[in-house]
Amino acid sequence: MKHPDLISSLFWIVLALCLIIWGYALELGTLSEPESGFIIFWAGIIMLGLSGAVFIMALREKDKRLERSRQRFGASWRNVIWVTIALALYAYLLSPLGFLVDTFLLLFFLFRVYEPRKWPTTIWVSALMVIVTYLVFDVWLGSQLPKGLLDLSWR
Amino acid sequence: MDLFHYLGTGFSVALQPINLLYCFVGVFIGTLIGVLPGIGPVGAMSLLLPLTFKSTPESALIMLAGIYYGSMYGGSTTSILVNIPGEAASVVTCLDGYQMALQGRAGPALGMAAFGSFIAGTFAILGLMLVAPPLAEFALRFGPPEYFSLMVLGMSILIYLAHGSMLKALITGILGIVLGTVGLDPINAKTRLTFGRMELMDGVGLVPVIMGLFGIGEVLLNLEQILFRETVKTKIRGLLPSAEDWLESKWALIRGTVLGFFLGILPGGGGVIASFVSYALEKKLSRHPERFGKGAIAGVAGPESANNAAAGGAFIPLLTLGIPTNAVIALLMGAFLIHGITPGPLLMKQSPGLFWGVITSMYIGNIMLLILNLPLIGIWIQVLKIPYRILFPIILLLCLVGVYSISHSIFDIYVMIGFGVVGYLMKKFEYEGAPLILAFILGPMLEVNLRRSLIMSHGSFSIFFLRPLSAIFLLLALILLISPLIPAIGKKREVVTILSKQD
Repeated sequence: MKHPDLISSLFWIVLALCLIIWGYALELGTLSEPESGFIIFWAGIIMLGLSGAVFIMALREKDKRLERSRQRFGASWRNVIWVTIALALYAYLLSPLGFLVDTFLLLFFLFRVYEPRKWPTTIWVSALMVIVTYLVFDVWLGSQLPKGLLDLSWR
Repeated sequence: MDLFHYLGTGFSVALQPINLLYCFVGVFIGTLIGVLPGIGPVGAMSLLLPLTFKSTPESALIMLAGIYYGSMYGGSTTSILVNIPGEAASVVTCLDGYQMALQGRAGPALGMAAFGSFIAGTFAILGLMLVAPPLAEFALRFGPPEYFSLMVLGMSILIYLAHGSMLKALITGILGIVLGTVGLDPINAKTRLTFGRMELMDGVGLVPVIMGLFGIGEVLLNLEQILFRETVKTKIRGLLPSAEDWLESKWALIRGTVLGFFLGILPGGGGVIASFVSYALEKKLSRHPERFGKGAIAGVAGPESANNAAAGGAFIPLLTLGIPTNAVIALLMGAFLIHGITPGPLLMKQSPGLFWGVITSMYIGNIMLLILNLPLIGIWIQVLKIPYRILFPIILLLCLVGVYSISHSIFDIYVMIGFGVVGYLMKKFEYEGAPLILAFILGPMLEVNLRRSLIMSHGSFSIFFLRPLSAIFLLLALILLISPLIPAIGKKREVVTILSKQD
């Protein structure tokens, strides 16, 4: 496994180059009249220098640090990936499904993904949480959460 | 005389029944958040921001401030009883607080933490009242170069005090500045870095970024491991510390309070650094340093008073200069702006009711906390037993609904999830979120003041060095940034870094 600072500094270097290009494209102006790209361009230049320094330092680091970083990345990734995908899907389906249905599905999944309990318990706890949240945010605070499917069925 | 008049104004606002209720809700939720590991004051304040939309700005800010200093109180409970800090500023309280609990002295440890917090919190409010008015008056003389240099100094302090690599803190700071430029250019209204998305015309939202980095990111990190918590099983009795305990702790309380207050004023200082420095100081000055780490009550009193005093001190730069010093205060600044109020030197003159109302509410809040904390410890212990499998879906749900309620934008949910992943990866790669947030908030102000200064000076950078205040700020910033290159200072900073990572 590569040293984590090598990976992260490479990411910053690429981002810094993008910032330099974007800043330049937005126009730098002059020192007496700086334009919109001025700060972005110089931020890119400074970031390039700093991430270059992190990259060089990572290349020089000894094995001890590498060993520690191996341990740090040894933990389980599965939960993190599943939950992130679930959250992205939730955002995608929020408008079409509506808050009540979409949130119930998300909560049901979240309660199952980490130390799962029995199905009936998961179902009623998810439903209860959705209803309480809906009452607080939509009914009490007037947040106008998306109606989605339920809105169509009522028409 | 003026001070008494202002205090009267403040109390007339803070003592209104609705504001008392908001203050109570704030300190109660703050304590609860402080007790619960896995959600900090930043996340809690972001989640509760939508609840304040229907209230007056005074009530909203009284509640949000209450969450902040309330969380400092609550954090000590988990440190003492479970050996897990509820929030970062209570990390060192674990060292002696948990040992005291194991020796059957959980009561005096909890009591001292509560009384220490109360004394320090009250002193910090007094300091705030005395320091804020002259500082706000002084800040009226600031022009664009002074503001620019002050912000550079603020970011330099934050980067200097970063827990890990200063280079990495600088990189995340730069990223924060760039994020702050997204949207319309404040000077010529040209769109920047929007990539054709209409949603980005007003810039990236502060709340989705903060909730993502500190709420979702934290949950993702915790999901990798099973959070195991075991409370101390002995019965907690005798919460009042004995006369001997008071004698042993009195200087730790005083030193922690003064130190915490001044460190709180510094950008990036805050409760975490204050509690670590206080612990190190007490251990150094103690006649029995060998007792530290084995249940010394001064090891609880010092850090707990320091982190509470720091919470009070942190309000000074926000209320007088309009500059946030840490992520929590940055969010509070966001709340000010959402309610149409610009914090800064003119706040005291334009909205005296709000300014003094928030300050005096802290007095009342501190008394509420003292009353709340001692008798309710039994409830907090029950709260500690809520398993993470129940807690994390609630946190995620509140993040999602909270963000949507603020802007009614699904795009902001994506932004929050994106920053959640960024926050998770930043922790994995040992980058800190605080410099990013502070730079994100200060970035637009920094850019406008830089460009205005350059326009004023016809393109000459000498304007920053020819104006005495600006020159002093920049010189201090330079000293901070190059000081780690001096071997003696660099080594000391490394020791602090290692200490603060031992959580």
